[in-house]
Amino acid sequence: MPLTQSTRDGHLRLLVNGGFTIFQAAEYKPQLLGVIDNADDMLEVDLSGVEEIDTTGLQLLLLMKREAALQYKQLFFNGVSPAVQSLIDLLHLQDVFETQAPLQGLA
Amino acid sequence: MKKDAARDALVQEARELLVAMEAALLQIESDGPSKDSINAIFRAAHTIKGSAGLFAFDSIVSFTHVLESVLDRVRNGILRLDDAMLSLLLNCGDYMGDLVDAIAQSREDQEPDRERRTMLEAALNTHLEQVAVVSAQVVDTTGLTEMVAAVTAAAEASVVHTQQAACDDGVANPYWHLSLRFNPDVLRDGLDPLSFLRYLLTMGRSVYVLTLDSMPTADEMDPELCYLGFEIGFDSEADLEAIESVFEFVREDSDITVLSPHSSLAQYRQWIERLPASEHEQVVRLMLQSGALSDAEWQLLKRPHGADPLVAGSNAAAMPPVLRSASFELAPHAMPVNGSAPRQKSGDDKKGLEQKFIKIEVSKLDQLIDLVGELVIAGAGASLVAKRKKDQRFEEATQLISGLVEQIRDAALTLRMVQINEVFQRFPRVVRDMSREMGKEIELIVTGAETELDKSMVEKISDPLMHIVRNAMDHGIEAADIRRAVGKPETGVLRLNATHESGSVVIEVFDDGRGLDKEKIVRKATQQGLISADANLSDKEIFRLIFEPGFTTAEQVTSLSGRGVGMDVVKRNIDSLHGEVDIFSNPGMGTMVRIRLPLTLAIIAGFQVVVGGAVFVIPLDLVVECINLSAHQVHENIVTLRGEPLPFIPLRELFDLPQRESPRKSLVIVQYGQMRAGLLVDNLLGECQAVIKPLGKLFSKVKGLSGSTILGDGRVALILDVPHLITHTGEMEQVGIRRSETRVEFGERM
Repeated sequence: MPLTQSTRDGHLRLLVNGGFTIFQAAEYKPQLLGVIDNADDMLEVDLSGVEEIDTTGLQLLLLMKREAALQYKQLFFNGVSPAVQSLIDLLHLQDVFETQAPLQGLA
Repeated sequence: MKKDAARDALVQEARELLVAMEAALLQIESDGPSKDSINAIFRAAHTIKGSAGLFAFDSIVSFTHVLESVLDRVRNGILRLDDAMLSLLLNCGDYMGDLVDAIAQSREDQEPDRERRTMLEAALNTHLEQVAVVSAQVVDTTGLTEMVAAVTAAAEASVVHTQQAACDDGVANPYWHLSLRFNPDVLRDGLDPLSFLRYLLTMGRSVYVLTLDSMPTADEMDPELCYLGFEIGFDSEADLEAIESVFEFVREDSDITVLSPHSSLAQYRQWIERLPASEHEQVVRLMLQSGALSDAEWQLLKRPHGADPLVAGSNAAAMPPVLRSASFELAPHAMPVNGSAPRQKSGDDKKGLEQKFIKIEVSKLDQLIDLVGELVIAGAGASLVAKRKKDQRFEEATQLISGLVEQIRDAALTLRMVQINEVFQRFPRVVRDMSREMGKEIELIVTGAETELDKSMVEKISDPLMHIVRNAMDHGIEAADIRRAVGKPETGVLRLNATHESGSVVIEVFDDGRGLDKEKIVRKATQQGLISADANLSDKEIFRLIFEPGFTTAEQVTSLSGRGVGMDVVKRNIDSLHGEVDIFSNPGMGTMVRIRLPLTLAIIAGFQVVVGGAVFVIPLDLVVECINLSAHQVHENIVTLRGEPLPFIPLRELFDLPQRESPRKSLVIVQYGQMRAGLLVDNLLGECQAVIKPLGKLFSKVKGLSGSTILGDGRVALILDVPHLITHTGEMEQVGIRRSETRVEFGERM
């Protein structure tokens, strides 16, 4: 199951596994937004299982952050796979993917 | 084999693009520059370069690259699209056509014309150098946008440019700045912007990266569209070409700006002004925070255009002294330009008219049509069986099937139909070039360009039409002073028209020139021994003489026509298409050449008749009506029909078929063009679909038959060549049966 939800320390935790690309984008979008709706006030997104990520994956992560902020929920990333790390390095996105830190949107 | 197919595709695509490019250039010439047409030109050059690059056709790539650089500057309004530039671009397009031809003939390793190429490249490079000089000079607030204005308005603008002092050494930023906005569809095209960035970073190091997203609300966001844009500071030794080439594949529909290290403020300004307002602040903050622009540079940059000179003066205190004095001097000159300067719009939809076509190999299409042909024959066979069985339900079923088969046939045939515009679109250029060469003013009016005809015919009619048009311009339309002397408007008119008319396509080329000189034609023809001196010829017959091989009336041979080759070739080409050509001319008023072609060469709706036991097929489009001969007055081979005489041909006698008893004789009345005639037959069988099978070589000389077809019961039926038969009656009956329709009609057109 590429998207797995669980609870940890009382908050919702989302685990993304495998590809996170245009091949999954259309399918993932509603699911990811649904996870945000379901979260109480904190959502942990674990990207350590992401094997591949492209622009669509990045866009969906950015969208999730924005939606979470709009719903006054805290979203943070925990666990970063090499593929995601390479993306962060490429685009200097350390701020966006800062784990456990207070959230700062891109803009 | 595979490579050949790809090569063909490349050649075809390139040719289509060159045609589009030429059309856009000519449109600019007539209607003035528009963003759409400039983009179309750029896109054409860019795509050709891209595809040629895939095959490593370096000759065309390197040539197109220079052209593209010039076009890019034209597109950005830095270079003006004036008459000289248009001519240069047209010439470059021609040369690209030569290069493409070389590829088509697998001779891409040879340069078609090295001298011409060198000349063109030199001309293009001159434009590029000019730009370099100008943009180095431009510094103050009245920078590049005025150059944009220069495209539309402005000798005065250029005065401003030349007066601008050269005092911009560029900004301090030692890094490249890349501003990337991708076409939203880029992901669906299978391209990932991130992979371009990864590739880019193999050439250097990113200093700063800003990711901008323009995502709409979560509901509206389409996860498969690209909403991200990037601003990247890039530290690299690579040159501009190398960096731009990274984005080669996406450049077309995306907005890619590459600013070199130490670019001028004007270039930065131009770029920043094109940013959407929503991103403006963010990008500026990035530029300042990252040190790409210093505060002082930004202060200079952000002053609005068209600033009141007094305001500019008061702001000037914050500026370095050198710049201040420059802007004081310049402001007054810049003022009038600013008022009328249209700003370059940003974020324009760059998607032009996308062609919604798929390419199919012609042979596949032919195969399909062949199959449909077989289906038609088999269907006819089935109907025949059904009729003989006298099984009503079977008959109904076969009728339904034959209805569908008919639709399939029509649909399959229309696949082969293309608009005659494919031929016509070449003429604006021809007319433009020739009228310049001859110093005549000629206006081209094209009507009916959407008329469709068979693809194979479009190809074959192109050269004959070109001959006719050239003739019309050279011999027909007079020079301006002669026209003025005879009281005609100085601008000559050349008209191309195409229409459908009773199963055929009619193409007319009309000019309002001096008309054909009948006496001169007769005199020349007599001199050349084509006719005897005492021959008494009708107008039509005289005009037809110009189709004789070797005939020319031109007193002097020009480079364009008059060598006596041409019109006979025209006639031969049209004959080979089963078409015919006629000339109408009024002295001093003009000439019209009318070409009539059959619609298609593959399958026709036919009308079956029986003569002496043999079945013949008449193309249904040409059949007007059927009458019972015994009910009408007959004299020799003329029947009086509703008070009008009509010649007819007894087919049985013509083909020498055995006499068969038949209770009554029927007359099928056919019309071709303006002429009618009757065909006397024994029996009428009714409509059928005839798949035309060519007659063998042995029968190629047989007149009156145009082909054969296979009937449902497997018998062979011959297809009558109605046009030829009608002409035959005309020759038999010299008396005034043919009404003067043709002359009257032409008179109206004048």
